[in-house]
Formats: sequence, structure tokens, C-alpha cells
Amino acid sequence: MTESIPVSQEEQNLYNRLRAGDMSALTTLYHENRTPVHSLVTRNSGSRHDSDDILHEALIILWQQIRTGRFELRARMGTFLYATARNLWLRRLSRRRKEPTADLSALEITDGSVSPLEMMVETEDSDAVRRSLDKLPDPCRSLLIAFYWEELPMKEIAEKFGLANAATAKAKKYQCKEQLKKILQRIS
Amino acid sequence: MNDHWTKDEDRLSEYVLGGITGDRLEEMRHHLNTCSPCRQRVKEEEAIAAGVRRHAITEQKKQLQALIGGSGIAIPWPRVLSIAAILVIVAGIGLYNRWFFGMKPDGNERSPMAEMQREDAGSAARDAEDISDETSKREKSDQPAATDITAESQRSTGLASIDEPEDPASVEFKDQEESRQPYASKMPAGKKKEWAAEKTVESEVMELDELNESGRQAAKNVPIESVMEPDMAAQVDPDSELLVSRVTALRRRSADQLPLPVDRSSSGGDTRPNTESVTGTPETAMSALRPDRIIVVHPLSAPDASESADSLTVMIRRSGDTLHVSVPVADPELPVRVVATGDSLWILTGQTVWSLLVPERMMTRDRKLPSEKP
Repeated sequence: MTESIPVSQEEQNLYNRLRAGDMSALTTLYHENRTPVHSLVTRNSGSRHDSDDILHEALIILWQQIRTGRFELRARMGTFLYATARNLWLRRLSRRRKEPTADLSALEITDGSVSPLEMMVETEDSDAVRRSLDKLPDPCRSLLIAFYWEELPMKEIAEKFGLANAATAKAKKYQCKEQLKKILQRIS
Repeated sequence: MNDHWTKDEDRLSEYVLGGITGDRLEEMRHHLNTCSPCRQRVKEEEAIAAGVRRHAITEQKKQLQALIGGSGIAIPWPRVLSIAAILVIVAGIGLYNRWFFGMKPDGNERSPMAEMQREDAGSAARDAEDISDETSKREKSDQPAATDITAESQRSTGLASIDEPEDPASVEFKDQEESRQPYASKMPAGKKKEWAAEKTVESEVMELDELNESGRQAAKNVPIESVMEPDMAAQVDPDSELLVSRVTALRRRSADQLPLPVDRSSSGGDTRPNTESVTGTPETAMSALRPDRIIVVHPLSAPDASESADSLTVMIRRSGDTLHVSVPVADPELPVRVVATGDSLWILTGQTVWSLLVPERMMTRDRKLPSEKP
């Protein structure tokens, strides 16, 4: 069980802004955590560009975790960012070296940090799906993003896309997924 | 749980997105261990979820980069500043050199500081001449030989006329740029003169090295027949070069030292294409002296000439520098011949032979003359 640590009022305000969907709050976190992440990446065969890219990605993941309610402010957001960036960078390094995809369990998955699914996003399979998604027309693409990324419940998806109800949204999501699979088979 | 829960879209998505915990998760995992098609379905769903998330992350990263703006593109300021500092230093050194030692960017005129240094150098050179004159006078009374250091300095530099006791001839360079000693004027008087003399020698040697190169170029156009008898010219290497270098004293030589037979040298028809006889003063001769001619003999026959009537002036012009050699002559009407050989300039006036020694070849055909003996 993770112990809660006291957080500052500033941190709390930042968290509230992110939870409310304020993306500009990420810039503050970016500047606060740039130096340690840069140091981590450049010490481990990375460039400044790599460190920026990794930090951007960690920020997006943090934001997503906050919005879906998975991240609670029991620890500093900087700690989460550092752990996420570290895992992402290790994953990317192993890819660059063309080593076999590391076993997810071998990676350090800290509490409140990256889930195994996040670790999958850079696999070749997921890359093929990403490319297929580019070819998938809206609203299917947006609907799948709302479901798999934003993790909105079916009721909210129905409201967002103007569908009759959750059951309709569920059927629509199934159709879109099948459409995506067809594109995936075509480009594979 | 023995049913194939992966056939349920909601439960499959919920499992992949991490929405199931506790005992329920353990049961589902247990089933996956026993159901290969179920594992395959989970794998497909994970790939779709991961791909969609990858797509979303990429899109949102672009938005975030735009939001962060310039800070997303890291400018390597330390490196930029280092390069700028190096450029400033290099430009500074260049300007310093141009200001103190070099030329103006637009042409041949010297920079103001170089002009000031040139003036200083001029006074330093005069100081050096003073030293040389004093030394020369002192040694004139002690030993009239032409091998002393001061005379060697003069010979090397060509700045001062050579004034040897047994030899009334004099050698001097004109139109030659004064040597430059930038800090001579700041030195103590005694030290300054000594230093100036040394630097004058060194500086002029450098000037003459440059002269060598230009002389070599100019000499390529000079036919060998212009400086030698045709029968002798036929025996020398036509590819050899004419060089210009240091000048030494004019000496009276024995006729049997002349590399040419006396009878042949004293015979008529001595004027070769590059040996011109001009009547007048050295000033008028200068105007008639063409750059591509090596030697001009100027018999001074005019009564109001600055030189005495019993001497003549041999003028050699090369690359903007003119060497004047005053040669004693018994009869100015007698034909005069000037011959350049391996390391000397031979001047024949009547039955007298003068040689201008050139230790490093002020003017030489780099070739061997036939070993003819008189």
C-alpha cells in the first residue's frame, strides 16, 4: 500500500486543472520536470530531443491517468512523470537496439506509473493499428479513441456522438472495431 | 469460470483496459491459461487498444508541443555561444593583424598603424645606417678589408652604398621599401640602434627573398643570348633560371679571373639586347630603363653630371628595385660590357674588370660556364 505524502497547494491546483481538462497546466509540469528527465535520458544514450519527446509522452499519459481517475494525488506528479519517462525510455532503447521485445514484467512498473498497456503502445502490432486508424474515417476513429484512450463510458460516448443510447454506442463501437480490423488485414 | 469470457466484448475491453481487479481478474486469467483462442482474442484486443492509444498520444503530443512552443525545440545555447565567441576572436585577430601589419582591405595602401610603423622603421633604418657609417669609418682606419660585419650588413641589405676603401664603387638600392621595426621607437637609444641594425638586415633579406621570386619570373623571358656570347650561350643549359638575390661589394678583379677571354670581351660589338648605353644622368637613365631589361650601362659624359666624368653607372632594374653601381672608368668613351655569370656580375671597362659578387646570387644564370681560360 502506498503511503500518501502531503502535497502543496500549488500541486493540488495543478492537479485540479488537469483533471478539468486544462492542457495548459501541462506546460508548468513540463518546465518543472524537464531537467531531471533530460539528465536521465542523456545519461542513457539519448539526446535532448529524445528527452523532450519522452517527457511529452509521459505528460500525456499522466494527463490521461488523471482524467480517467486512475491517478490520485497521493504522490507528487513529478515522481510519476520521472518513473513513466524512465520506463518509456527503457522501452524505446530496447527497440532501438533491435533486441527482442522485453518482457513487460521485466520493466519496472511502479505503483501509479505506466500500465502494461502503455508499454504495448510502441510494439509493432500497435504501430500497425495506429497506421490503420489513420485510414479509418470519422466518426469511427474518434469513437474508438473516446473508448480506448479517453475511456469514456458508453453512455457518455452516446451523448458525445449523438447516438440514441449506450446500447447503440456499443453496437457502433463493435462495427468500428471490425472496420479497423479489415483495414489492418489489408495493410498487413 | 469456465465460459469463454473473451466472447463478451464488454468484458474483453474491460479486461484489456485494466478495469477488472481482485478475484474476478484472477479467475479470468486462470481461464486464459487454459484457452488458447481466448488468449489470441485478448492479444488482438490489446493491440487495438494500444494502437488507438498510440494514435491518441501522438496527436496530443503534437498539441502539447505547440502549446509549449519554442521550448519544445531546444536551442543549444552553450554551443551557439561558443561558436560565436570563436568567430569574434578570429575576426579580432584578423583585424588586429590588418591594423598593425597588414594592408587595407581595398587595396595596396597600408593601414594607418602600418604607416606609423613604417615611419618608425624609416628612422630606425637611418639609425642603422648611422651605426654602419660610424663602424665603417672606424674600421676604415683600422682595416680596409671588405669582410667586416657592417659591410656585410650593407651588402646584404643593399640599403647603404658600399664604400670600401680600396674601391670607390658604391652599391645602393633605390625605390626599395624601408624595413619595418614596429617598436624601435619605444626602445632605449643605445639598444634601439643595435636592434634596428639587426632587424634591418633580417627585414631586407625577407624583401630580397620576395625579389628572388619576382626576378625568377621576369628572367624567364630573358634570352640567354642577351647576356652571353652566342657561342658560349650555346653551351649552357637553356632551362636554367636567372635569379636575383643579395648584393655584395664591387671589386676590382684580375683580368684572368674573368670567365670570358679578355680578347673576346674587349672586342667590339659588346652591346647586347639587354645591355643598353644611355648618355645622361642616372635620373634620365632611370626613365629609359625598361623593366624587362636586366642591365643598363650609363656612361656619364655630360659635364654637368652629378657623377664624376671618370666613372660610369651600371643600373640594373628588376621588379621595381634598381641597383646602382658606380664603376671607375679611365675613359668613358671606351666600350663597356656587363656579363652575368654563375655568381657574379662582371663589368668590363677597357682593360679593367670589376666584379660584383653575389653570395646568394643577385643575378645569376644557374648554369656552368665553359671552363675557358685566357
